[in-house]
Amino acid sequence: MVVKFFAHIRKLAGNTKERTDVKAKSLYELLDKLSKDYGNEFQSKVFPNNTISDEVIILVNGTHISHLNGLNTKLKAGDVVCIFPMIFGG
Amino acid sequence: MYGWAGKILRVNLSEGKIVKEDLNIEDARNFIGARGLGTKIMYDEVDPQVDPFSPENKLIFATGPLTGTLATSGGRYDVVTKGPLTGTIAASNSGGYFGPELKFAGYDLIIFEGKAKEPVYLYIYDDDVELRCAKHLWGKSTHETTDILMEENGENFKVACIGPAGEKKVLFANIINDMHRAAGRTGVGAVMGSKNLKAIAVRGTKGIKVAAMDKFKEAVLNARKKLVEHPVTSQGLPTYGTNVLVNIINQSGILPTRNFQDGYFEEADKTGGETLTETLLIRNKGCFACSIGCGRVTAIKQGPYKGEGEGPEYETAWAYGAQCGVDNLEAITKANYICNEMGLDTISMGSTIACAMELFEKGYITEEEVGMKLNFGNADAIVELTRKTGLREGFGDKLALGSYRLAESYGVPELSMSVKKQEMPAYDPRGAQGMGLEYATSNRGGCHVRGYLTSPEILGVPEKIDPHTTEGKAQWLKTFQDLTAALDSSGICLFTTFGIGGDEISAMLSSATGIDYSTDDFLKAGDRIWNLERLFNLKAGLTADDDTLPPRLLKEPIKSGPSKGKVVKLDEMKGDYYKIRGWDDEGRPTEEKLEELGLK
Repeated sequence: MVVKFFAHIRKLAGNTKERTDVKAKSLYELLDKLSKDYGNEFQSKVFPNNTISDEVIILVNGTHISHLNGLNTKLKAGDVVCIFPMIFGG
Repeated sequence: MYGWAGKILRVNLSEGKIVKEDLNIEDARNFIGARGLGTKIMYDEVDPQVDPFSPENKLIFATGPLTGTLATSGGRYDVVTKGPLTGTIAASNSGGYFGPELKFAGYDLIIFEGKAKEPVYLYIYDDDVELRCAKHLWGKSTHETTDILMEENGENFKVACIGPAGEKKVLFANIINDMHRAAGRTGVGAVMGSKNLKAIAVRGTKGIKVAAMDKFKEAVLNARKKLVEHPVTSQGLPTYGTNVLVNIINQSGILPTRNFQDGYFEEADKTGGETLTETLLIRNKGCFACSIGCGRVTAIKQGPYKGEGEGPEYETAWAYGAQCGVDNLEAITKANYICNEMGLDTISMGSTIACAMELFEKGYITEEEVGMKLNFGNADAIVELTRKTGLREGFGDKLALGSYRLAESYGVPELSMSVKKQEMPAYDPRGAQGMGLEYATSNRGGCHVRGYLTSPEILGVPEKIDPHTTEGKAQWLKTFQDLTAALDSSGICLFTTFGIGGDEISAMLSSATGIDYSTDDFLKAGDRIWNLERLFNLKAGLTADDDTLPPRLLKEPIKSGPSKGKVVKLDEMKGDYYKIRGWDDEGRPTEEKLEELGLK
């Protein structure tokens, strides 16, 4: 599994762009592990009270998790999980 | 009069005559200003079948009632004309400080008519308005022109001008104001060049009256508070600029790559906002009355692309990056600087080079013809061909016609990634169906800022909708198109809509003008403007057949990435869209619709 961080989330994850060493069976489990790794600031912005923050966008294999199963989205080896802050441009 | 300045400048370049007219308040109420009011004047005064480069075409610089007021991000104006790239109505919106200065001088709009015998510029210092010789400016870059005019007239003058590209009528030439802000798309700069009009230099010292100052301040502070508290407008855009989009659009599988041959660029991160912030960014910068500050002041300190300026924005980073298969951010940024100095539209320029790259790789264009190998990924080529296009030198003379005419000249117009002959921007609609409908129906050809459905389809604002379905997209698009048309016409920036909506904008508009615009009135004005643009285009000769996409997007599935296997299902949406718009099967507004909008 590859976990990719973008924009402000990179800073919250200790200036990490990408991790390949995390294993999790669900998005919930992944965010819980990442919160433990990176601490309170990461958790409060990404996974406050064990829910997905309104201020992040999470894609699993390019699909927004609101079109999957939210926090219960199942993960497997080879999946790509991308975590973005809420962003805009154009 | 409140909000509006109340005066129009009508400048006949053929006769050298300048007349000051009163603003028609009834038209202002119905079409608001800027894009809407400019379109109304074009529709009333210009034959839509006019040759865009003939003296009979008009060129209108138009502010809105909120331009130059305290309204949040109220620094916008539009240039409205018939566009030479598309043959459609053109309305090009720009920020900076030029629009507010024009209002401070006491004018809502300038209408240019005819054609000057020799190069001129328009000098405005409040009531003092005159045409002046611009022979000494002809051939100069936009930066040189701005510097000279500020030196001659005073450092407080604000300048909008064309560069060599506009003078030489490159079909996608821009007008550049305040050095780095562009009225882009559809070639408004080429129309300015065709009139021998090099620049406008304006200084204004008058204020703008608002109808109900206490209510206006309350509405502005309410809007500003929402923008300051919103994570996108308080953090994302100031820190990373619009180019922060590169990675999310790429990871969603809709970053058009190598002339839309794919939707995923493997080296995208090297060209994105995070990399720009870490490498070339000096500081961010805002336009008039803006609390966001998405502008990028950048520098390339050494090497072959050494230079300084502003940008790249997201669209530019894509057009020269993924679209050309180039991952060199310094080359992309240098090409952007050249566009600003020459007065070129970065989306059309980058995408036209990408089209040429595909033509080269498929054997239609030879190395001898271009003077270099033109494979995808050639970083030097994007810089050199941009310069050549601005000057119409060598192969640049062919690129100056845009990708459609270029590809057509080799017998393969289908390789142009354009709609109504204008290059599409940085979202592959095969992975975002609503954006496909947006491109197909845009009144100024391939464009993302007429109804930005990327917002709900990809970014989840105001709510997340499925990008791969077609159901309901027509209604979403109509709402976005109407809101954007009204917002552009009011004089504030589209980026405010990340944090505020019709309620907040109509509150600012009502208290500024003293005319009670409900949110419904505001959206209806947008509907009216959209339909008037449509009527102009229909009279210009466009038909429902022009509301389409390149065959590649309708027939060739994306090859890789998360949107692999997708095409645009335009037929499933277009009929619904016409119905929801109140148009017949041929895309013509019905009599009932025109009656409802007061357009009969």
